[in-house]
Amino acid sequence: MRSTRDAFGAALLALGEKRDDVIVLSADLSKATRTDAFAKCFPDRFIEVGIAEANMIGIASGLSENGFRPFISSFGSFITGRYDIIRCSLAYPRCPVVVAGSHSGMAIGKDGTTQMGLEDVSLMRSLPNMMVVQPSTYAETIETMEAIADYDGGPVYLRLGRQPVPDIDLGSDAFKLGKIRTVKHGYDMTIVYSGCVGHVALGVADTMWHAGITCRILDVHTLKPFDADTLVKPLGILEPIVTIEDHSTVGGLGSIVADVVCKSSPTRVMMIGVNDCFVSSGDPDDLYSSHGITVEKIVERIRSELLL
Amino acid sequence: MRLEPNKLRAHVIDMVFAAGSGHIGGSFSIAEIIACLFSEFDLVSDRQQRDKLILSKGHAIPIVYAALHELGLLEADELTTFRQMGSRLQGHPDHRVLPLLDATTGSLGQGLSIAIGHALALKLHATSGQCGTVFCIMGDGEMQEGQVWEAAMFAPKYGLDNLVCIVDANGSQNDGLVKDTLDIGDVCSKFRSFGWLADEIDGNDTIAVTKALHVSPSGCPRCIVANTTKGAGVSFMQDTSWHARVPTDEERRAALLELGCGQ
Repeated sequence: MRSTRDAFGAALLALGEKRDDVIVLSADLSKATRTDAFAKCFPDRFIEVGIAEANMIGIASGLSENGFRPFISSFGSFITGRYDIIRCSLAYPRCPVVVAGSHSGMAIGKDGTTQMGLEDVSLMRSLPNMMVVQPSTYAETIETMEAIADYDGGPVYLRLGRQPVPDIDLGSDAFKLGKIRTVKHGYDMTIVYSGCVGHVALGVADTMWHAGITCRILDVHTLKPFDADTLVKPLGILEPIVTIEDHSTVGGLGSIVADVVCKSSPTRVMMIGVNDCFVSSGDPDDLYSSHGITVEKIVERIRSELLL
Repeated sequence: MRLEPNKLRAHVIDMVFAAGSGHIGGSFSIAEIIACLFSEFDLVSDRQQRDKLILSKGHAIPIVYAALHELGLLEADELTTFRQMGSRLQGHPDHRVLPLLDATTGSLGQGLSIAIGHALALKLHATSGQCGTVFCIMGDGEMQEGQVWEAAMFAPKYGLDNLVCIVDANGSQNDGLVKDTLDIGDVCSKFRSFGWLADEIDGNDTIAVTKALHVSPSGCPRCIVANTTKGAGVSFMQDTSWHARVPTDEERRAALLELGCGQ
């Protein structure tokens, strides 16, 4: 089990070895966001700005105008909290900067709400020109980093997790930036997930399979631009749909899916996530259970509400 | 080629009048600074180490458009498209639609950080000691934004002596005088305490401005607090109403006459 933030750190180091235009900025969270390996190897291309995320974003904007490929990182909550700076200094001018927001969702547990990225997808996807990606495993993060390294169409929000996650089998679909990855084919319902909850999606599918229900499982590593085609075609929407995310149900994956299906063929979408509330300090397992983001709780809801 | 501040002011009047909106007061206060920058420094060539201008107080962009026109880089026709849909001359600087500009700004407080990014890049790319200078023009009201102080704290860390922050201290902001809204105090001594070199000048005196801009780099970033008059150049445009006020046709003619550019 390895975390997606670990993969980010490893991929960044590898990228730094290949390309000398890669420059990394930190706001006093280099260890936590795993940019410290890069810092050690390439001190001349590592800029520590201190606890000053807005300044970090602006500096990256200026650097990107001069042939540098900046990667900036902090906790998702803190960095997307500087929304206006990201909007005006990165998104509006389409500056090719990768904004890595770690400690997504509730996994940090005992530190509590102020340290958790719970609305970061909602904020970032609302910005034109902003690509939003959220790999679900260590391996998928490496693939994502390779793909976004050469993307210079604008800024990218890369959502990462703190906690080690199982290296689940993501199926035979190759990774393609901008496309949904079909992890499993099924015929009775669809589970759509994004980020570090892939193992929960697989666990739900497994339980349902034992009850004779097969689930189509879709991994949305690219939240924006969203691959509506794969969800809707080739055989139409396989309803009902359950979305799973470690994020608010306001404006995240659930909202994206509901948006898409509503426009083509209105379908029941059950959204699993943090239901428009802030989260208490606590053991992550307790928090996930309390907010219904566990295999048991999701299966219970599918049975009682979707009657499957 | 020497640009004339009053000619720039005249273009600003025409642009704002044609558009029906725009910021005359804060554009006028930096006319001498802009005239000097575009006359004395290489802000528009293709050289990698050319000088840069980040207009952090982006609402003053009309005076920059005026300077670009006087340099022959923008046609007179195009000036009349200021603020129209699809125009390259957006209401606040957009350097994607007008690549002659170095940054997209308008939400106050962000430009100094962007300027630092440019200055740092120029330093990192500089091979033979020759390094472009990055000028960042900020408003005094703008100094109330927190991000400005993040940037101010940071710049000396990397010895960015190719960074010059010019504070247009015209004493006035959107809703009134700076000192009544939120007094920013002694900006020079604040910047000095952060590790910058800092000086105050008369920002509407061309000679003082030229002298201040040509100081050689010496290991730290520099702050120039330019004491200016909002609406300088036209006698009746110097009260606090001219932050975003549009002249009537009569006022326009009277202003152009005062600027020596009337018909």
